[in-house]
Amino acid sequence: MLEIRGLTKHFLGVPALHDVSFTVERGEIAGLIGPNGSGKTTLFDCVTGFLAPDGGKVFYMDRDITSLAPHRIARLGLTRIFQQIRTFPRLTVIENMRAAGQQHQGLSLTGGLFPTKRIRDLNRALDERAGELLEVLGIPGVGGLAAGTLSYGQQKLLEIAMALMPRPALVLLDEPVAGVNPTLIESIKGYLKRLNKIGTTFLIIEHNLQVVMDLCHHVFVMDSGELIAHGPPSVVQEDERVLEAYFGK
Amino acid sequence: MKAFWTEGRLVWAAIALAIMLPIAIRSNYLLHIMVMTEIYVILALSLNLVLGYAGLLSLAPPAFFGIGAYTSALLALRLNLPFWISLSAAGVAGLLFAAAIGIPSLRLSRHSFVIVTLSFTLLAQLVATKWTDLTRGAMGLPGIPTATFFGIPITGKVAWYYLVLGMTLTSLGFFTLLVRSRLGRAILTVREDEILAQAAGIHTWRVKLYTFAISGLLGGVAGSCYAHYITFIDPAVFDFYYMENLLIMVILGGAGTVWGVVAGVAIFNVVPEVLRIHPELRTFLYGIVLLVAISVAPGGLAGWVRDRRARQNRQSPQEGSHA
Repeated sequence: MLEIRGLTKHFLGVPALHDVSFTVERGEIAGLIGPNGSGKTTLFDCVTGFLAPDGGKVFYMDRDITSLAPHRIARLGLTRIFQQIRTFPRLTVIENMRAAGQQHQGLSLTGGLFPTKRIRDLNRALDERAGELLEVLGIPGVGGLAAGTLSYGQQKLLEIAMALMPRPALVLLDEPVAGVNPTLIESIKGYLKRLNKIGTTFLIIEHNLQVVMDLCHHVFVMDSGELIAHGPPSVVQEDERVLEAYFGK
Repeated sequence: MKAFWTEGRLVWAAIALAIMLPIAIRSNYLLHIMVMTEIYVILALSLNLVLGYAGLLSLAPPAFFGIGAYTSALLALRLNLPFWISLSAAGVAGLLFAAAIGIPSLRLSRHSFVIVTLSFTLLAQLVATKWTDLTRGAMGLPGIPTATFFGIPITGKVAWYYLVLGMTLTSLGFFTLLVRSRLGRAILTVREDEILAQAAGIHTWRVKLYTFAISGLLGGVAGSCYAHYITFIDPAVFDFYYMENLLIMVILGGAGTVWGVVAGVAIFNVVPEVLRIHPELRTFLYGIVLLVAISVAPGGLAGWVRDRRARQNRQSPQEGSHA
């Protein structure tokens, strides 16, 4: 599904990623963990086209996407959420959701200046999908509010909903449950598991290790820009290098 | 109680009022102000689209206005082309120049973009002044033929008022359709968060380019109307004075809204004339009004009305549901 080969990225000579290689299989939920500053978010940025890597390749569904622009990667069905919350703050929640879904309907930008029946149908489809997702993620009834007026947790949920809007094949989630209350974490976990069962693949950065252990089939551990361990959660948990990276010697 | 003056009704009332105005106004001078106001509305939309919707400050509207005016005037004077053709050519010229400037400059940071658009306006004025073979330089182009409507020449202020009113309403209709379309939605996402827009699959650079090109088109059309209405143009059409006025009208009216900007243009063209404020004093007063307005109502007139409505709705939640 996603194959990363020898990915390297330096910031002003400081290595943020050094020769990282791993593969996320289709249909799994993979976790990416590691101490702060270990290069996890940089890796996400390189995969989704927001940063150009200094070396290495990224393959998505056997296609080289290393030099593609972010919007092209997104249209291939690989979406993401950001660690820092990003929404369109002055647009309403429903407008946010429409914007997140509209480029995946196979219509050009300039198509649909006139509100023809086809356009109205497409918009209705977006609205229905948006309503469904907001309901499932536990924030129904906020559709008419400006996204910027929602609480931190609600904005995080909106961001997840937006990433799921175009029915992606692979979703990269950067700390999806940070700042979300425990009850909601359970329901998000449940929903991600259900989506995964019907074919969506996930790669998740998360500091909440309980969530990682519950959700992930496979865990990758990074430290100082390098992959130091990987395997099923129960095995990784016992790995000496992992414990060392987190807690020191 | 449901408000009687819904947005739709207000728009129709304003259109009806605009159609009936010349019946009440007999003064040629006031009619001239009205025609200029209409032209300003089209030009203000050109700035509003880029500034209010895409969140980019463009100082190029006077350049597109001037390019439209010169294109139209030269085609009519040198090639004897009819008004509708030179008008269309002026719009296309504005669009093409905007695209040519936008392709390199929209890749730059937002701040650099402002400087490029400013330089472009100054450069356009310089070319109009120095390329005397084509433009007669500072002597200007006199004797530009008036517009024709299906072969009938437009003479008199009232006829001009209705001709430009038709074009202004068409521009407003086009603008409304545009900002409500998928492209319009994409334009707003660029203003709100360009990174997130890209993550949502939106080709933000192309969205900005289309926005800027349409801004050029509107500016060119406004310039053409001006040239054929006044029948004389010189390099002063590129003057930065227009840019200052435009910024005041758009910001005070409420950048990013349609009717707020129309109201801003109307108020700022008509009120100073009616009050007969001295032109020198006017610029000074504009500055004060702009400063006060930004501190009291940063969202402009439209933003102030919206906030007031939101407050009313909060105070009476049982009435809030119909909005």
